[in-house]
Amino acid sequence: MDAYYLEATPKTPKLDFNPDAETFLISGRSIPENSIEFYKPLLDWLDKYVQNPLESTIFEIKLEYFNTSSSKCLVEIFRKLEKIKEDGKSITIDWYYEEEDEDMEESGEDFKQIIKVPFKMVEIK
Amino acid sequence: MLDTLSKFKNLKQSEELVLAYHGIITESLTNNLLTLAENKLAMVEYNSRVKKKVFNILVEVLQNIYHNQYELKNSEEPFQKIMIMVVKNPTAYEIISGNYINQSNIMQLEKRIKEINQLSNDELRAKYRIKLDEGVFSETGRAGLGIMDMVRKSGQPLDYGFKIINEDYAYFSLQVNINH
Repeated sequence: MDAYYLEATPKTPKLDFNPDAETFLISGRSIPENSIEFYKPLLDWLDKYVQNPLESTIFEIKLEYFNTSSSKCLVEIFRKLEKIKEDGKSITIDWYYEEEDEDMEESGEDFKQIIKVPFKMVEIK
Repeated sequence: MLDTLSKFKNLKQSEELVLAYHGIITESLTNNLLTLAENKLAMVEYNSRVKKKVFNILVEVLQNIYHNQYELKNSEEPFQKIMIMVVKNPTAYEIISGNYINQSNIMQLEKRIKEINQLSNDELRAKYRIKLDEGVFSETGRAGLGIMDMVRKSGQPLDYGFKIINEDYAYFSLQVNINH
């Protein structure tokens, strides 16, 4: 399956979804006005990926900022990954946040609470 | 009651204006304003946690207005003008916005702000998670989380005001305070 890659911009994150690398990554800022438009191609890509995923997928999220409309898209992304777990393969989401960044920590806790995929909080010291 | 335009004209000496913009708003102007705000904040605030919080809330305030402007797209130009400012007082940053809304929206908006303002932290967290859990496709792109996010991140209730302009429009003023 082809990788999905997008370079970061001042308002949108880097998206690095390469099945050969075994680790997927979203990093940077996610504050586009129209988040659905931005994330739709990735959601479509994930629909295909979850049909035939790797034995083990690690998904790292290293966001600096994100707006509330992006947070709704993140929920949709995580939801797609639930299928991997249902099919008996391994999926882990690693949520990175900087020490003392209570807003990012709290956001991670919000997702962890509502997503049915192993969700790890990783503090960056 | 808060009125953003008169607040701007009557800033006290202890209130440092970090940024102010008055005019129409477009996607590229929103981008420019955010870049400007970020550069300016880097000059006046050394605490990166506070800086990040102020920027994050400003994004939410600006984008909320930007999306609300859609319903005013056929209005005369004066009603499309918004005001946004960031003020630093001795104890807090104030993000203050002003924009016109259809008068018919006052009741719903006021009810929503009042309801969120009086929630405890735990209640707000629970309500936020329920809304987040609904996902994107329950609405047409509007997250419905903006106001809750402002209260949650700032840790304080929102100050607001409505001023009736004529039979169609009202001026909506909003202020978020972030302690520094």
